[in-house]
Parts: sequence; C-alpha cells; structure tokens
Amino acid sequence: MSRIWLFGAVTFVIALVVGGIAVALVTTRGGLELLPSDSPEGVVQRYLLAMKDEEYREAYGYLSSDLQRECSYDNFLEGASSTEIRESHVTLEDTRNVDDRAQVKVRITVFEPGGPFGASESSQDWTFHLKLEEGQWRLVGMPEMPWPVRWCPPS
Amino acid sequence: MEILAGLIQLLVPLVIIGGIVAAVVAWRRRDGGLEPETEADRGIGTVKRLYFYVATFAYLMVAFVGVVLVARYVLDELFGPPVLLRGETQLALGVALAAIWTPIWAWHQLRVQRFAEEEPTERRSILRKLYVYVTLAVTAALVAHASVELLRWAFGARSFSGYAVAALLVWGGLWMYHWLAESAEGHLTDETRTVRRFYLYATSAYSLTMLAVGLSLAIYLVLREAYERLFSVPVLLQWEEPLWGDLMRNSLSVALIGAGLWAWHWLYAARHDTESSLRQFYLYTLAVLGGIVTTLVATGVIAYGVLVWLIGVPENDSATAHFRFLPSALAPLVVGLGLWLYHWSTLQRERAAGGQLLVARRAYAYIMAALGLGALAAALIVLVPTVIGIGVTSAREVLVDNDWWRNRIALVITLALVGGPVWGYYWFSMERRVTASGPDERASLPRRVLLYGVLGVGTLAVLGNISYLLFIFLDALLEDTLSLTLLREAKWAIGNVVAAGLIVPYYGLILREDRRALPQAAAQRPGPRKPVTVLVAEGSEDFINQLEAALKRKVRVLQRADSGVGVPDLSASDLESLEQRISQAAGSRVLLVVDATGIQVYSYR
Repeated sequence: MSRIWLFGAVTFVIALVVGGIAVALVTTRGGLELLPSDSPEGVVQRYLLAMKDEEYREAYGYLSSDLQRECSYDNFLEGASSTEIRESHVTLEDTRNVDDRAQVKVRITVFEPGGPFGASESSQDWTFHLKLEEGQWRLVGMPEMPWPVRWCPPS
Repeated sequence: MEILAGLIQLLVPLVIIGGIVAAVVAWRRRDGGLEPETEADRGIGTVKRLYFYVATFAYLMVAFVGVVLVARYVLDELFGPPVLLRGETQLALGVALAAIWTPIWAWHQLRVQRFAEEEPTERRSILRKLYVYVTLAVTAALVAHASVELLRWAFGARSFSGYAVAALLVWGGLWMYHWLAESAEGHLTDETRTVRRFYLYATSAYSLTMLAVGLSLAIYLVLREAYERLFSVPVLLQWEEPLWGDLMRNSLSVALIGAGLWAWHWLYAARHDTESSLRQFYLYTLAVLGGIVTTLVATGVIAYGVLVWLIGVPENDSATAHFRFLPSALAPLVVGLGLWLYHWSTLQRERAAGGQLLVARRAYAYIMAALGLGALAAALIVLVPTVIGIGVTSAREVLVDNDWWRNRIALVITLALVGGPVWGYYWFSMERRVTASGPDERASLPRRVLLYGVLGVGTLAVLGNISYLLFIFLDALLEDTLSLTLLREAKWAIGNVVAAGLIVPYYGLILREDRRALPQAAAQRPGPRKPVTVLVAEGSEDFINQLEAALKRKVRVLQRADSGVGVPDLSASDLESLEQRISQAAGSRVLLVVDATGIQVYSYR
C-alpha cells in the first residue's frame, strides 16, 4: 500500500514537473498576451514590459505630459535605473474608469530564491492612476511616481 | 557559492533538530525514563536512524516546496488573473527543487519503510514517531494556511491564488498519507504516545486559537451592526458591507478552518486520551486559562466603561456614543466564556472518570493567583499617586480639570474588582491545600516560582524606585528647589514602593513558613526512586506483578537463559525488607537476581 503511494507520489511529481515546463513553454513561447493598447490596463502592461526590457525611453512615453514636465527624462532614467523589476510577477486585480480617469489595481509578487529553505516571497497591491490625453491613456503620479520608479530624483 | 550557502542554511536547522532529539533521548535514558536498548530493541541503530529520519524529513520538505511552486505556477497560468508582467523564477526554482530532491526523498522514504518491515522494533522507535509527528505537525500547519486562503477566495475576499490550491493538495496529501500510515502502524509505547500527544495538543491549541479569534471578530461585526441599528448610531461612511465585507469573510475563513482542524484533533483523534497528563496540562494551562483570562479582561473593559459612565468623566455625553465599545468587549467575553465553560466541564467530567493531575491543577491555580496579584498590584500603583494628587494640589499634572481623578478611581476599582476575587480565590484555595497536603504542596515548583518571582520583582521595584526617589530628592535639595511640587515626579515611584511594600513582606513571610516546614518534611521523605531491573526465570509474570505492586513502580525484566531456577515465595515482610535494601543500596540503579532461594540485590551506577 505504502509503496503504491510512494510510486504514485513520484509519478505525480514527474507529471507535474513535465506539465509545468510544458505550460511554461506554451505560455512563454508566444510572449505575454498583450491587453488592448487603448485600455488603461494595456498601457500599464506596456509600461511595465518596457521597464522590464530596460526600454526606458518607451516607458517614459507612457507618462502623462504633466508628469513628464515634472520629471525630466534624465531624472526618470536615474530613478528607473535603480529599480529591480526582473523577479517580479504582476497580475491584474481590478480596473476602474471614471470619465477621463482610470485606476488599475495590480498585485506585485516578488520572489527571491535564497537556497532550499531560504526562498522568500512578498506581495503588495499597487494602484496605477491614468488619465486620457488626446485619446491615449497615460500614467499620472507625483509626488510618488508609478511603480517601480516611485521617486523622481530632483534635478 | 550561493548553493553552498543554501546547503549550510539547510544543514543548520537539521543539525539543531538532530542535536535536540539526541539530547532528549540521552537525557531520558540517563534519567531512567527510557530503558537502555537491548540487542533485540536496537533495530537499525541510533545513528543510522537519526540520519535517515532527519534526512527523509528534510528532503520531503525541500522536494515538496518545489512541487508546490510548480503546481502553483501551472494553476496560476490556467485559472489565475490576467498577467501583466510574468516572472518565471518560481517555476525555475520549483522544477530544480522537485527534480533533484524528489528522487532522493523517495529513496530515503523507501528505505525507512523497509526498516519498519524488516525490523519490527523499528515501529516502536521514538525517532520514527518523532519524524512522523513532526511531519504531520508541519503539514497540518501548511494545510491550515492554504485552506484559509482558499476559503477567502471562495468567499470572495481575495482573488484566485494557485498557491492555496497547490499547497492544500500537496501538503494535504502528505498529511493524509502519514496519518493513515501511522494509524495502520500503531505500536505506541509510553514515550511514542507522548510524541503523538504533543502533536495532538499543539495542533488543538493553535486551531482553537484560530477558531476563537475568528469567531470573536465575526461576533464583534454582528454586534457592532446590531448596536448601530438598535441605537440608530449615525454612520457617515461605511467602507464595506458590514455583515459580509472582507473583514467578516476573512474572520469566518479563519474560524471555520480552525474549527475543522480543532474538531479533528481534539474532538476526534484525542477523544479517548483521557488518562493523559499532557491533556490535563493543555486543558488547565492553555484552554481553561485562556478562556478565563479572555473573560476577565473583557469583563474588566466593560466594568471600567460602566464605572466611567457612573462615577467618571466619559469622553462622550451621550450613552449611545460612550457605550460603543460594548460590541468589542462582548465578543471576546462570549467566546472566552464559551472556552472556559466547555473546557472546565470537560475537566470535571474527565477528573471524575480518571482522576486529577495535581501538577497541572497546581500550575493553573498559581498562574491565576499571579494574574490576580498583578491586577491588585496595578490597582495599588494607580491608587497611591491618585490619592497623593487629590491631597496635594501641586502634585497633580499641570492643566488638568477638577475631575481628573474620577477615571483613575474607576480604573482602580475595576482592577481591584477583577484582581481581588481571582487572587483571593486561587491563592487561599492553594493555602488551604498546603495546610491539608503539607510538604509536597509547599515544595511544588509552581508555588516556588510564584513566591520567588513575587519577591524578585517586588525587591527590584522597591530598590529601583527608592533609588529614583532618592535621586530626585537629592537633586532638588542640591539645586535648592525642594518643594511639594517634587511629588508630581515622585508619586508614581511612591505608588510602586507602596504596592511592593505591601505585597513583598507577605510573600516573604509565606516563604519563611515554607522553608521552616520543609526540612522536617525532607527528613521524612524517602530517597529518590531507583530504576530496578529484574533477572528472572521465564514465565514469572505473577512474581513480577507481585514485585511491582509491592515496590509501587514498573520494573525492567530480563529473562534468564538458565533452566529450572524458579522464584521464591515472598511474604509481606520479605517485600518490605527488599524495598529497604533497594533504597539503601549505594548505586543509583539496582539489579535483582531472582531464583528459588531468594533475591540478590546488586546496585550499580
């Protein structure tokens, strides 16, 4: 009986590992499924992907004109270069639109492996605020910049 | 380098656990609590056993942490919320852990199972049972956490989390396997039964806490809503649906999972364990004590609120606004009262059936007496500066109105009302027991802890506060600012000195009485019991029973290989003289060699 269980457990683990890799290959091969670019959540996603790929000029382009005036590209670059986004997993929790304003609530999970017993994980909710500018959703902020920059160093 | 650091991180807790286990086994063996192993009992050997069980546990944990990470990734991808930014770190780590450590764990698990099949004595091994019950305890805790998260999702209090489902399936499966395997294996000895009890009562304790806390919050939300509706309290902003908001959903999730876990462990698995000492300790010092303390604190909060309304200066003029604290005090009161009454009635029922464990009852009574004394001391500490402030105007805090003392007096009365009866009831009931039972009660550890604790804390309080008083007095004297205003700074220190000055001498006298009574008692008390081993012919069960009844203890039996040696007929006086020879023997252990001619007593260390 116990040997059967053990055999079953090992089979389950093997199937799961193979399944996990298969799911990962399927879901990552075509890249991330992009949300519509004219939606607030789509803009947030593109901003985050640009930050992850260190395409800071593109990410800066998703900021509203007010925010760009208050935080120059050089300052944004300085704040962005000190952020760590690679280990983060971000899921969409909620979107709220009121006229030309929108709020996108996300959950950011940061996973930090540190040895078999040392892996740690932390989650936090973050709300991105956006406004409609010439038909495009753009991120607003100040005094706190949109995650992961959060802070615009003074000139 | 990181891998090396990870392995060191892994090894340190394992070495600590192994060290603790080895130390406990060695200590119990040296103390005579565990019999030394015979060749037949040795099974696979202690070192090999220690390695295999500790390693199997560690590999199981590492491998299945990996499995949970992979399962969670798959579930999140299939059923989770839309992903804005994907992180694959957890999948990479999960696959690495599961792929490397699962085969190693499976091999060890297979060996461990084979040991039990090939060596029947292995099933009685304390290390094996420790491994099983530590695994059960850890997996049960992880199942509880995952179940709460899953229920929160089911109730709509959070978004879907693949972790909750993955952890519930994986850790729940492991828990179930170990539980079923252990139930089928059985073979519990006194020591291994204790390991099982530790698991059952530790799990019962935290699951009961989950149930009590969750239920208390849920009741509070209902009572708050009822209060606001009943007294038409104007609510300007409600941040969530009161009776089915996130707080209620989270509270019910915790309460329901706690209830399920507690029902399984306490109501089902531990239902026949009524003769257990650990169970009585759990009942007295955790369940009943927890219930009473919760009830008394909640009662104190209500009494203080009522007294402030009657004789004090309430912050709000309207009764509706002032008594808004009632729901938050009534909820723990109801839960605490329920815990207290249920566990107290369980204790009474089991005491009537199986007797009472004095040690547990004693510890409980002295803890209650200490808590009551603490409340009384606090009442004195608040009362003295209040009286000084009433009598001496310059001793009051600046910018206070004329009614400043009213709430303080309400607090003093509350502390005295709660602490006085508790201290009086438990302390004097133990004093009556001292009078009735004598030296054992006086020498008991909980009593000595209470007496020396009160004397230690009281003496420190007196010395510390007198030093402070002397300092501010001398400082004012040298600065030429000595006046009654000094009392403003000194009054709390005076309160501490007065409280300690009243309590410490009383307990000092009690300790002196105990010390005087104890030397006489010590002289009358028999010496420590020595472990007795009997070398006797096969088939001498009646003789062994007679011996154990006379010596009032269990003896360890070694069977003689010689044939026809027989056993002697022992009279009552023979048994009495044997007991004397055993207690007077020089060594800390005794070997009795029995044949038809009589019993030879050999002592050894």
